[in-house]
Amino acid sequence: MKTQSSTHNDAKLRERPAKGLLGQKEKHDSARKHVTGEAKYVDDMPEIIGTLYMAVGCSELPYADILELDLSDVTFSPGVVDVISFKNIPGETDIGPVFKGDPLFADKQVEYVGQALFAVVAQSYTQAKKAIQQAKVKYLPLEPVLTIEQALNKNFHVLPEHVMQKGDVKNALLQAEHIIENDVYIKGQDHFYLETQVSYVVPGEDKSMMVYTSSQHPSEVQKLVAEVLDLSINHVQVEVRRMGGGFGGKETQAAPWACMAAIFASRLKCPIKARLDRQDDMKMTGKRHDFLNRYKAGIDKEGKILGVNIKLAAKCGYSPDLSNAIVDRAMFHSDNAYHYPAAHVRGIRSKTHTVSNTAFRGFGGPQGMTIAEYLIDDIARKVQKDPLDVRKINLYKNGDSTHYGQVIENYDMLDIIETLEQDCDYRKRRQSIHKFNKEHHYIKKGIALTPVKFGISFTAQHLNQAGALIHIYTDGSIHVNHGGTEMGQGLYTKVAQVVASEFNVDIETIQVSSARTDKVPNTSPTAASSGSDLNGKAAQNACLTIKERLVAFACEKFSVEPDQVEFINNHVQITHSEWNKAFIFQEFIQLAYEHRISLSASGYYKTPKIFYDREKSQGRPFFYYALGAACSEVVVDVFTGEYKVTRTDILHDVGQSMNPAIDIGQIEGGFIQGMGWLTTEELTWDEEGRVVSNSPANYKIPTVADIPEIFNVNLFKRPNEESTIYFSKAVGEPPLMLGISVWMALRDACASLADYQWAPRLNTPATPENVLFAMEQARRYKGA
Amino acid sequence: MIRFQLNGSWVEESDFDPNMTVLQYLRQVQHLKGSKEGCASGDCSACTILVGHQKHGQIQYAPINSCITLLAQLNNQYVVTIEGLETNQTLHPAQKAMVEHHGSQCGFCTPGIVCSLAALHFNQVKNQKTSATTEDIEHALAGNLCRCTGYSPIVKAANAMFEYPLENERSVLDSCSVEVFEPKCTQANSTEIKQDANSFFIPNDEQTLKTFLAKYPNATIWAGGTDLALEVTQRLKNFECVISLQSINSLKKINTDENNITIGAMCTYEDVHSLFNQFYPALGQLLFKIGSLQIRHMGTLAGNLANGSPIGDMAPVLIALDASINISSLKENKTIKVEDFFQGYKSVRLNSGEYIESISIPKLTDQQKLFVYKVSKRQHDDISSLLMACVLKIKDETIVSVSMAYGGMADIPKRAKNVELSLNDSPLVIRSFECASEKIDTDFNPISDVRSSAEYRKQVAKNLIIKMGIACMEEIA
Repeated sequence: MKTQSSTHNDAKLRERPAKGLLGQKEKHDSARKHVTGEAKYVDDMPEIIGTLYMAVGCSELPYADILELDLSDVTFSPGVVDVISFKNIPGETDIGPVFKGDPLFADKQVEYVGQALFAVVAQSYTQAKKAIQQAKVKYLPLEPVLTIEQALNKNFHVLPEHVMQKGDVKNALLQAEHIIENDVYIKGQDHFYLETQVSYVVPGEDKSMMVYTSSQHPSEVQKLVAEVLDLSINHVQVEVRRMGGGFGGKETQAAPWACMAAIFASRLKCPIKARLDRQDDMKMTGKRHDFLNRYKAGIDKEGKILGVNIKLAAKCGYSPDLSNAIVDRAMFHSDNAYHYPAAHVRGIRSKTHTVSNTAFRGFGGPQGMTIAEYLIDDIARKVQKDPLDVRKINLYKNGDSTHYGQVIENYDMLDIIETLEQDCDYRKRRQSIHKFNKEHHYIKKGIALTPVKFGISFTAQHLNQAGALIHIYTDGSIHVNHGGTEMGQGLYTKVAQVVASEFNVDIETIQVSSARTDKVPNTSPTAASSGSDLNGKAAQNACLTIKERLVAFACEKFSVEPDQVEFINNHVQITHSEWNKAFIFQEFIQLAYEHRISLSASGYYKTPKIFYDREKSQGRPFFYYALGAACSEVVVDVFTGEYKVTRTDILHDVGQSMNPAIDIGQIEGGFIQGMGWLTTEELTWDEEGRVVSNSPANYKIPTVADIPEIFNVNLFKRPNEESTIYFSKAVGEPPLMLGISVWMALRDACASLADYQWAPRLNTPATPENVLFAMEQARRYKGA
Repeated sequence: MIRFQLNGSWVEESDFDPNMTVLQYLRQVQHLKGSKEGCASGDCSACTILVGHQKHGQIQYAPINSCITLLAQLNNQYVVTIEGLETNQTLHPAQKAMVEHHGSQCGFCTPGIVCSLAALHFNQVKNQKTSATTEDIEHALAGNLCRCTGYSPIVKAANAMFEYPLENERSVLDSCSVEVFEPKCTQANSTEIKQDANSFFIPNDEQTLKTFLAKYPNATIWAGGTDLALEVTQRLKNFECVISLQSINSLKKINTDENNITIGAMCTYEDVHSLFNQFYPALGQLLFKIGSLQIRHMGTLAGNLANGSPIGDMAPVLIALDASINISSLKENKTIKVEDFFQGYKSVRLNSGEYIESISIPKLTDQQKLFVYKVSKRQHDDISSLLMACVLKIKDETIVSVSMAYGGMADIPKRAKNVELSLNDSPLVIRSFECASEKIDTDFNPISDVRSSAEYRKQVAKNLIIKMGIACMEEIA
């Protein structure tokens, strides 16, 4: 056998592994552009001459009939070019994403403070904003429903309630040693993506529209813009290069501004920039749902749950938006990691005259989980055990079935918890905390180790599909496009790693371009943690198609069998029985091109195995579960309720990590965001239905000073048993719920004031105020 | 006309709306889109830029929020934006470290973070330091909000940037200090900007200021402008006539004599920070929580008082310290106690034509102790739910005098007179503080708002008295 090697250098090149393949800590594809300020967001794009700027006029009352909308002074305000309201919408007037109920502009009635009434474009943004103030609106105020409690009393909802059921709860409660019940109010959360909602719409030929937007769901923006303009979808194209954060807040909430801008662009034949300033964004766009959660559980003397009734009531706001799926997901996760032998879970979609709440990282799952953890904590106090022991005895075992009929498999939770328990020295610290709390009256400590089990897949089955498009050019460079959007999560980097790994070429060979509806059509939102699972697989399938063609070509050309062709170290290696030849990837591509081999392919993927019958509330809605656990320790000032997270340890399951740096970034960031939701981030509404927490001056997301003093994050290194992309697991949402450990640690510190006999109510966010009053309750309990 | 250096080149601007912010100017006029608008209220710091001024023949750089700084405030300053940090394709150490340590995810806050880190790097290196402490880093970044990363990788980058060799730092930050000696660069005279009906006057001495104030009695006096600018960016207000104190050197002075420290009206929080740490340690500590570093580099004590906010953090502390305000006008000079300065919600005793010249704070005696407690939802960069400040004079285990004030408990910053009475001449035992705390109900009737409920305010106001008592006894022991 002879080796055809031209030079020594070539040989060296062949031995060097390709860079940036799967499993590498490859940097975010835009990292360098981020740090130099070159990365372009929609508001940074060079503006075409003639661009006008949009502002939106909105309702000042939560619920009212509109008697008169007088916009004449708006029209004559300096710089104003055009004003539109309901009557100027050329096509569909309702932009509800799944269910109708979201008018682009209110017509005869308004249903929340901040609901769009009209929009204006002017020569400058300030002129447009000032013009808005000139509107004269006459309202007939109606009696609003502003809270979940009011909605429950009036039986007022956006959609009918839904029930998931398993076993005989009534009987289980009869058998129980103890029956406990409690409720807790879980407030919502503002997304506070750093980049507010923005779209830039440029009109084209044949009535077409080019929409540049910051959206997690370009295909939906495309469809809605087309419907509103009464065009077929192929007239509208949408491009999303990157978002300055999304977190679910740009799944449905990006569309209205793009639609309004498109109406102006169509009327005026000029480009329109539509950007919300921070206060408008916080007032006009939906947030995470508040939930009022209630349980009644029967437990045995060890603290094992026998049966439970759970009622979850969500504050959906004025319209359905995505609330049906969100409340379903809350219901799916009301067990968190624990086995309920019997369960009755009721999910209520309360309607309130407030902004329509929407997707937010976890999509109802976090709110559902809180009731499980609250229940476990209450059980621990009841049976006088360490909450961790109560958690452990209630964990699912393989073969158990959930309250919606999914059989638990490959459940590594006990392993994760016990590994973390060891690694973070939980038992010893628990003891020393008890000792500390006995000795200190003015400072109290608390600790909690909580698990997360999060179901992966869109529960709307049809969304579990994705497409990708790959071109290889004659110089061997590869262009990748897929349906996923980049919001910081590193999806583009991971997909580039997939393609690099498939062809075994350096990642620099790959260029991932903006998500565009004319490259990959009919995409699902980049949501539900599914981005790399779906788009990674679609890209892989596109690679496989091209590779098949290349291998077939090599077989024919060199008279070899497919297993004699190998993509390795930036080369295509042909191992003939009599000779070896390693083509540089580029050479081989050029050769294939010359032999008329197609070097472009689309790829498609749909998630296998999943099904769900909502009528019966039975099925397998999730392809698999992502798991994790966190242990947090806090120290609380008894005088003020102020606190500090002194230490957090996390062990999280990402399957076989495609990129450990990106995955750890998601875990750290998700945890802090979850901690913020449950601690300092307080949505506040006044009695007139206005959001008072309408700016970062009075809505407080964590700062660098709030992160745990000691913060250890580790990956649970076990490949996914399901055949996901490189046996990895989704990581976008699950870590957010690790933040529950901080909330539970705070409640633990409060319970110390009642000698751990009882845990006080601790609604979220557990602000210093809520913590102080919880400590007072605990003290009174002990005194009583 | 104003003149300033932008990323190494001198720029002159004369025809612009004086209400224009630096961020609007950078993005819309200069098309420098690296600095981002995340809030336009100085709360997220995605707009952070570096601004330098000459001091002792060198340029001192500080991070500021370009979204709430007016363009005219840049006169004679040295501005470096995110676009100015990279030189000849070589990343600044802050940039390099952020890339290496995965410090960006969505990237929108990143330019602001990089600028904050570059400022930290510049100042540490200038002070011959080869690293930064955890606290340095926390203080440098506490105003920069990031929603993606959870900050850990950014902190790692902040530590790592000091490991990169200095020769990599060839950015504008250095070249500025070379060009600083060119005499043509800066202007010494008073100047003004006019467009349409709007004027922005920049007097360069107090005499000119007095004349301007007499001529334009309705003018708005601008110091740091960190709160006033919100009127422009959040409430769309158009200021027709502004007189800025930015160029008056006599208002930037700090005088220390045997009994008093006198702080000029244009002194920022950062200008007095080390002095406070030395003479009023509890106040020095408070400054870390009073706002981000960006705000503390712009905001002034005098502005905080003149603003008249019931939750301005300086007022209760200065009342407790028995500080006075020196007020000037063309007609007269007068002195008024900080305590008497506030007459109602957002209303202060400052007549038209008058301006705050300086603030005099008595030094503490050996027997006096200052306690300051700020309580807020979030530890850093948050507005107080309430703030308590108290000076206790202790002699032979007895409290011989008390001066205590609260912010956030009434429509003005206010003394707790009944608590003071109760504590006065009491023995230094916990019981004295417990008794005194009950008097809060007779001193205050707070309201509920977005920051906290009235009940919480009352309860914590009481608890803080006991907390102080314990701290005081521990200190004495």
